[in-house]
Amino acid sequence: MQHECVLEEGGGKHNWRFTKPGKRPYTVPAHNGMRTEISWIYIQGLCRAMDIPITAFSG
Amino acid sequence: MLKVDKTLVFASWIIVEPAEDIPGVWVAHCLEFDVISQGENPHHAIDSVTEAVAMTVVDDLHNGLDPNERRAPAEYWDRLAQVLKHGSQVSLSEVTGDANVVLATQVTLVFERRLQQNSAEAFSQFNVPPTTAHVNPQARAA
Repeated sequence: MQHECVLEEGGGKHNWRFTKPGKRPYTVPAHNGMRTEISWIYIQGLCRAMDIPITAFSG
Repeated sequence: MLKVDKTLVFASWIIVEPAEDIPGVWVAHCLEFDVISQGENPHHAIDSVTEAVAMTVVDDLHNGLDPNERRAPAEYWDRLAQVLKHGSQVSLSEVTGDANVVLATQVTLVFERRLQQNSAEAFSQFNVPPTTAHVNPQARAA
């Protein structure tokens, strides 16, 4: 499924942020670059912010 | 030096707890703006979410949007109410990263707006960091 959600450069310790047309940017707590593990609570918040169905992340 | 044209103050509740799915990681959720970040301990998580909130609010202000429209869903506010009701207030400095508890604390973010000569807005920001937290060992999800 396409969600048109893209990763852009952020600032500070939050080097990345998600953007999506018509939505407000959402920061990513990536403190270890692309190797950062992100908790489920954060994924849920991202889905709320970007209107992504949470089922998109289910295996 | 450009004069401060407007000052905005946001007091924000933050719930901080260990991540259930990642050992050693603490998650901080700012309810007013529904912004989440994480860190290696409660203090790091609070610092991280404060920075994320500041970036988020500045983004919204630059885009002419009201950051207060980002509120977390009601279930998270109910959770905050439970922590405040049943938790005990402690100094944040007493909280360690190995405690299996839920914390609720409040940070104040202050934004000062300056209008530049070309009419562009510039925001400077500083925080009033939290010094106390409500700690609830019973509120952890099973």
